[in-house]
This record gives sequence, structure tokens and C-alpha cells, in this order.
Amino acid sequence: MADLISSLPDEIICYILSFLPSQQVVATSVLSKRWNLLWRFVPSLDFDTFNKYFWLLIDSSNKFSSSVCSFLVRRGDQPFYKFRLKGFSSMDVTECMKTQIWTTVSESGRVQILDLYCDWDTEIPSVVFSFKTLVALKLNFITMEYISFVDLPLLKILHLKNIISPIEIDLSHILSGCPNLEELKVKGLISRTIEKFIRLPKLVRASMDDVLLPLNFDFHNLVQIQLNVFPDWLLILKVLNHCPKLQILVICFYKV
Amino acid sequence: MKMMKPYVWLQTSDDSIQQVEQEIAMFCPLICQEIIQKGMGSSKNCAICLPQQVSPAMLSLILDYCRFHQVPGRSNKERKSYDEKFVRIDTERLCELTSAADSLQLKPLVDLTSRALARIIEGKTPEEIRDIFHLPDDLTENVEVEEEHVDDRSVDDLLSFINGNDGGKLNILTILIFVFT
Repeated sequence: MADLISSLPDEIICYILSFLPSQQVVATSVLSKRWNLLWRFVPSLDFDTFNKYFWLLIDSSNKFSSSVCSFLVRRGDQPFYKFRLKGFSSMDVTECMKTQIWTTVSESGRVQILDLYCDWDTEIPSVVFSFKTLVALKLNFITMEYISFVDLPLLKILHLKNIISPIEIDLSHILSGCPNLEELKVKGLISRTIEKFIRLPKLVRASMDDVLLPLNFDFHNLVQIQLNVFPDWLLILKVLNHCPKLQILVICFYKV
Repeated sequence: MKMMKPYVWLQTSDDSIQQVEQEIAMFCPLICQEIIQKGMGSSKNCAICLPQQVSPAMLSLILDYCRFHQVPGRSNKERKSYDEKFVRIDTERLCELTSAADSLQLKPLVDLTSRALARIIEGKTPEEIRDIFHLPDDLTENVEVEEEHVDDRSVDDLLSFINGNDGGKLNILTILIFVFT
């Protein structure tokens, strides 16, 4: 029987592989001569320790960091469109990896999906906030360099969770650079109080802490909101008044 | 009086020619270019010659896909569930469809079938992937040839050869040699 996939051009095979975890992509290099070099041209990095297949291919957490490093080194400077890195704990992220992440991220000007879940020791350059091709930006347990400039015209999904920064982050400043945002999740972020008027006409889903809640905003297309608040009903009522199209309201609060 | 729907003539890889609603065929950028830029497809004599990858069976599948998505007013949910069912076909046809859709530059369908193929591959070992796609193992063929050459060597010689300085590079091949001895 003929090889079923041989009629597909390299670009399509790379595209198919771009949906898979990186360890599996690398493993395809043993398939045949043609596949031997293909993995380097797959435009994605996807190391996710939460993926159910992850531990099938990597047997210990020590190997996690070395796999990521050697993947980046051997791949060279091929551009990424997806960069997803989810580590387990600070144990997994070595110095070598931190430097590699910093360099690769700084040079990923054409990236569309950036999804990092590392630990607070991992610092990310603020230049990511001016990657014009970004569609989804998810940062969790990251140290952020001071953000001076935000220009994310295509961004649809923004998750900022457990971020620390040398200088308090101004959430309204970030949001004002994301005119096409559709989904916003903010948690555990130390931010200045938001005074500026924010207009996010395309925002459909939001989830945020009460301290970050902008009181001067226009979210007129918001359908779903989750608020992590102390039970302050007056505040919730204020929010409801600003969201005429709201269908789903989720309130999470802690009993004191 | 009802206007007659314009048709376009298409020639598939087996040289057969068929008539298709222009509105639906135009969904494929390649066909669209042929019609608009070259004025092709208006009669049987100047039928649009489709790429080699597009067999009549694949064309009919692709046109089904275009016909469904061309109808306005369908909800995202409807489209998603149609797409899910559409790619529930055997791997061989899925590969053929990807190749045909790519040759017609039909990006949304390439995206759909590529994701479906990725789901098939996910979590599989290289050996399983090789079985699914009938991939010939041309990397280890060399090893088998080498086997014949080193036939008179003892197993100990072989082992020391494998575990020697070049052992790092030969990790994958090692397993195969053990199978043969």
C-alpha cells in the first residue's frame, strides 16, 4: 500500500505537526528520511507538562529543561507562530532555559500564540506587548519587565495571572493597546487603580478581581463576566449597569 | 421568471468533465482565479483543468463542504457540528482530501483536515504512526544492509561497536540491531 501522506507538501505536514506537543514532533524524526528534518520547520513550540501525553515521552522533570533547551538550540532561528511552555515548578526551569526563553521570546516578532506558565524566576521582556501579530497572550507565574509601550492590534485573548513586575502594572494602559480584545482574564495582578476610561467594544468574556475592576468603562458587548470579589453588592450592581448584554454572571467570593 | 443559475465546467484528474454551480465552485480560490482572471470554465471546451490531486470523489466531497458553508445564516454551532461529522472519514481519504483542498487553496478545509490528522497522530509512537500512514522505513534500511556486511562479526564486536564513541548518534538504530541478533 502506498504511503498515504507522501502526496502532502512539507508545509502541510509541518502545519499538521504544529498542533502536536513538541516532544512528539521531534519523535517523528525517526519515521523516515523525509521526516528526519521536517520537525525543525514546524512553526510551534509546545512543551506542556499538563498534557496527558507529556510524561509518556519525557521520563523525569530533569529532562524537561534539557529537552526544551536542546529543542531550541537544534531548531535554530526558524520562526514560531505558537510558543507554549508550561512547566511544573521552579525545579523544571533552569538558568539555561531562562536565558533561552528570554532570547527566543524577544525574537519571536511574528508569534501569534504566546502561552507561558513558568515560575516567578522566569522573566519576560516587555517587547511582547508590541508583537503586532499576537492573537492570544497568556502569562501565568511570570516576572514581567516594566511595560512601557503596548500595541497589540490583533489580540483577542489576554490572560494575565500571578504576574509580578518591578513597577506596578497599569492594567488600563495594557488594555488601551488591545482594541480587539474578546476575552480577558486577570488574576493576582498588582495593579494601580484604574482611572482611565476604557473602551473594549469587542470584549465578550471577562474574569477579574474586584481590585482591578475599572469603574469607568464601556464593555457594551460583554456576555459573560466572572468577578472574584469580597461580597460588595453595590460594586456588582455598578458593573451590571455597564453591561447591557450580559447573560452570564459568576461571582466568586471568600467568606471572611 | 427565475434566472438560470450560472454553471462552470471542471475537469478532474481522470479527464472527466462535469458541470458545477459557479457560486459553489467559486468558494475555492484556485477556481475563482481561473474564472475571473482567465475567463475559463464557461463551456465544456474550455473547462477548468483541476490539479492532479483532485479526483472526482474528492471534488464531490469538497463541493459538499462548500455547498454547506456557502449558505448564509448558519450558526457557528451548526457549522462546527457539520465540520466534525465531515472529517469522520478513514485516514486514507482524509489525507487525499487534505492534499486536494490544499491544491485548490481552500484554506478553511485544509485547516479542518489538518487538525483531524493531528488528532489521529496525537499520543501515538513513531511505530504506530508508521502503521497508520504506511510510511516506508527508509532510515533503517541502511542498517539492514549494514547487518549483511557485518554478519561474520560476533555479537560482542557488534555491541562494542554500538556502545563505542559513536554510540550517542546510534541510539535509535541500536534497538533494531538487537531485533536481528
